[in-house]
Amino acid sequence: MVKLTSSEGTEFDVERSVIERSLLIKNLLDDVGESDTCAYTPIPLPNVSGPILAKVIEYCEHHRNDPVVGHGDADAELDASGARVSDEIDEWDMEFCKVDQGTLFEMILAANYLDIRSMLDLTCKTVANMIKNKTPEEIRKTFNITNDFSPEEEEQVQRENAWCEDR
Amino acid sequence: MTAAKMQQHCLHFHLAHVMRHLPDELLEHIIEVSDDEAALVRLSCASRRFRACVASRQTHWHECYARQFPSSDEKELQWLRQYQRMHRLVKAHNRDSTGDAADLRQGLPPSWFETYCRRCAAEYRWRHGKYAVHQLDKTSVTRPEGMHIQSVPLVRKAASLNDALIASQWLMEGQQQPKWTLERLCCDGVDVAGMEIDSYLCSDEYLVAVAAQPREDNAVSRRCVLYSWHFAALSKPPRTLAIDGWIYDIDIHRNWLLGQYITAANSRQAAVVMYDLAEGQRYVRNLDTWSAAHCIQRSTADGVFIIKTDCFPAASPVMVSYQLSELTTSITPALFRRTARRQAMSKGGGNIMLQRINDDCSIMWTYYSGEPSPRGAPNLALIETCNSADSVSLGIRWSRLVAMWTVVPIPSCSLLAVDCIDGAKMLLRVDDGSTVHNIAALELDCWTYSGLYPLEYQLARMPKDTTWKDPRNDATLCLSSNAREASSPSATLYNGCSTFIVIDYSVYPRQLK
Repeated sequence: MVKLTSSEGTEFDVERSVIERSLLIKNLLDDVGESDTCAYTPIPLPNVSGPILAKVIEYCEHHRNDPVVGHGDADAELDASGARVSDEIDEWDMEFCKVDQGTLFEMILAANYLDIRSMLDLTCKTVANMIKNKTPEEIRKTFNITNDFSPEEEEQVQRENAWCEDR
Repeated sequence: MTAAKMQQHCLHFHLAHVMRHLPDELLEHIIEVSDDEAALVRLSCASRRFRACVASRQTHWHECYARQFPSSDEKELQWLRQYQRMHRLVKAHNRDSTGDAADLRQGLPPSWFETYCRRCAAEYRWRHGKYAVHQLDKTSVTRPEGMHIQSVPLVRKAASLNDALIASQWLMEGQQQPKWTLERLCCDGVDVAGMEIDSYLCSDEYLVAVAAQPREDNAVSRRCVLYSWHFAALSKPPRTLAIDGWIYDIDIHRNWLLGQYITAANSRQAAVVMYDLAEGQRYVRNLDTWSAAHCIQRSTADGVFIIKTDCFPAASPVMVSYQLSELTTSITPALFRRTARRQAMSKGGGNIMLQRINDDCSIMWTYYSGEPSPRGAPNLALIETCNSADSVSLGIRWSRLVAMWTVVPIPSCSLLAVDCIDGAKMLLRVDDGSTVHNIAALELDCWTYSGLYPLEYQLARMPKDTTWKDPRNDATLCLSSNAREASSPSATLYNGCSTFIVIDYSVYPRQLK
């Protein structure tokens, strides 16, 4: 077992084989070696809050038997013609990502920090799907983005990209 | 403030904080995993930071562009060249006027994101009638000073060469936006008295006109002269490519012109003539026999690959021999046979036609009005060339019998648009000749004029009753129903009575700060 401490000091016990989906933690444990100390010395994760760490562990437990996706596998997502294959999100993953947007973005940050590529892809893909079929104004509202174009630039951008209305 | 509202406010504040502090690498990853280009473009419209992030993926946008708007489609290539030319000139010019760049004439290449968006916008603007109107005055035909962007020739058959007018777009000295003007073909130094235009062809850069004496009664052929102009130098005299002969089946691709040439009207001995329009060189090679049809399949740096057909006289079906040949300037003899095959074709009364689709495919077809029979010989066949390391071969990929008047390739969509005998339009896949049932609104003339088609998903979702805003229906333009027209991928020139109107669908480059 491995003990993890969230940013607020909450401790989580998790099986090593589960949390090793995180390359950050796997490398850390590999460096420490097979000693009992890792079971009793909590690993501090100051960038991850308790609720988010719980979600990370939930994800790693569900996907404990999946092959680990590395950063060099990005090309596999392209088909023979070079077009990006639309990787469907399975039902469990979809349910897993049904959280408020603040949590979703924190999950992205955590997946990136802990170096869990498949979780990073999943959460980013979920955000990408939220952008689909939305107008720029709806995207701003959804993600609380400040429009920093000047009125002239805004008019120009809208005029040049009116073709996106055909969706 | 209620507790619920306070909670929502806090959540929004939190989300805004997270979004603001989401590292660029993660924003880029969200963009990277998206499979929806239109959604990314809409995201780019949300803020400057998102725009910069989306636009920064040059390789992605270049790949998208090449996949969706392949340069093997001549119209697509023409649009891209025009856009790049205009972009470079306008931006270089604008920088020039502010004096903050060293190498101004070269300009900077446009980003592929911008190019992708402009290309999609071009088709959208055609379809939705978003254009600028330029009324051109025939009495103020000019010899422009500046940098040439594009030309739209409106050349009437049987008219004098001196009467031909070309609408050209130039970036004039001291101007910040391009300007349309009318130009005449310069005929200084060539004797065109009494000559009329028999036919003409254009490539992106060149205009080639076949001029001949007026046709005498019952004459089926006549001696002609072939002239070429560079669109950027219409005010200079033409090159005279061929004089005092009979020239047939002229085809043009990039800077190469091809034709069959005989010196006597009743001769069966023909030569194929290839002109390098850029260099002004002519290459003549004798043919064994007169070919029924030919087309340029592909241009290379020093020549062309051509496909030619010969028909063996017989009742339908007719045996058609087709062969691929390479003509080069550097190999002697310049014409040599590569490979030849035969195909039985139904002959519905018309000639066997050849038409290039892209560098690797051409179609061989003929009009056919009979009842298609499963066992009948085909009247439409796709000829495919296959390139290996040391040879080029060709063969028929598919063939079928279709009751049709004519067929038009749409290379960017890998489709063939067939005008059926019953008045319907049918789409066939270039890949296998199968029928595509979604014919949506392929009859929109804007696509025929511009050669620019919408993205595949847009075409698939387009309602069948989609129409386009035809400028002819714009009462303010007062275009007569018999006004003549000619188009480039970004503009149409209309001429009715003595009025010349350019309808320009471009959005001109402007730099966001």
